[in-house]
Amino acid sequence: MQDPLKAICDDPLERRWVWISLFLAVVFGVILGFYALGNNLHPPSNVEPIDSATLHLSGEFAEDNLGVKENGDGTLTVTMVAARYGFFPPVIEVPTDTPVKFRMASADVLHGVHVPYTNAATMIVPGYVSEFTTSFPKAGKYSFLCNEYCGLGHDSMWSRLNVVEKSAGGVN
Amino acid sequence: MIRITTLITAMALSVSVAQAEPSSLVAFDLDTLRMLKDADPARGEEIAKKEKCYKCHGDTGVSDDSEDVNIAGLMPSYAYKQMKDYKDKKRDSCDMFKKVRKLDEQQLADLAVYFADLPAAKPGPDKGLTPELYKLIYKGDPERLLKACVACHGRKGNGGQFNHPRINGQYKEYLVTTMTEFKEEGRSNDIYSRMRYVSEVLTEEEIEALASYYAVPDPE
Repeated sequence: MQDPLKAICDDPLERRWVWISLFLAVVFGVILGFYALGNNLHPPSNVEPIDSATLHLSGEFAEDNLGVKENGDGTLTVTMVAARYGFFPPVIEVPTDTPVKFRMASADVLHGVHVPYTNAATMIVPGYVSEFTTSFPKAGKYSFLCNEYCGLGHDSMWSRLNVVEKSAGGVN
Repeated sequence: MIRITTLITAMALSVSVAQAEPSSLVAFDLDTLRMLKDADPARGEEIAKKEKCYKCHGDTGVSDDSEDVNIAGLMPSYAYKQMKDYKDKKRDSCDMFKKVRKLDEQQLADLAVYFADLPAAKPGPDKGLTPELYKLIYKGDPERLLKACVACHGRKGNGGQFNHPRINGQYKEYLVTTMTEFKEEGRSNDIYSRMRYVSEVLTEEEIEALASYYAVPDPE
């Protein structure tokens, strides 16, 4: 049987490496597939598409709709935008021991968010709303850090999370 | 009394509605990017001559007045956004509004690519960096949530993506005025207040020092 790659590549050594690469890609694909099925891994449940290029024009992620909002049941929703190179609004304040639902969207490329010393972390994929709910037991000054390389200013992509004692009641 | 209360409430509502407007109507979606990609600098040159852009911005896009912006070498996406913002009254300038109000979006894109192709103003001799200025430009100040300048404007100030402009081809006076306008909310067409947040925390001395560092020599 003739090598199907021969039509596009004359060098036998190069063809051999192409076959090895393809073989490895299939092997890794199968391993990942079995791992995902075996551990019941699935994509995030909140699959909510959004147009990243027009986020600022209207809707939930418009400039004046960002920040902390109190829900009827006493929980909070924080709406934020990640854009090169920052999280907006840059300062968020929430009380301790209160469920906080974060809803975040990227205005440009793939970003991630991580708040060190807490379990708040997610990827922020352009075209989708990322959502997670958590609460913060300890008051203090925390940082939002981008943990997906997003460009030359990635290391400047930070903002602040102030967690205040619930009795202090300060939310803005 | 009821009428006065109603009037005050209506005024307050109108203010809140006005604040809810986006800071810019420009979105760098596929249509806008395609339009900029297909824009024609030759058409832009004709429009520039017809609209007499040279009166303020010089024959080559480099002004002979340190108050005016040098538009040569600005990224097309940034120049387009500014002109569209003038047209949409998102950036305040009576003169610029008069110039661009009758131009359609394609003509603005043509103008933007024409001026982008012109060489930017020549930088002056190398300037020294104090440790404080080095920190501001290359590291930022996390305590004040201040980004490094290079994060958005590039290592050499040549600009970044879409609406992160070139800052190394401007006169000092223009740079100081621009940062002060952002600081005092006189200019608010930066999407998500990016530059307003930065300018708010910069001191006047820091604004002066940064402008001096990035500026080209004043016109003679």
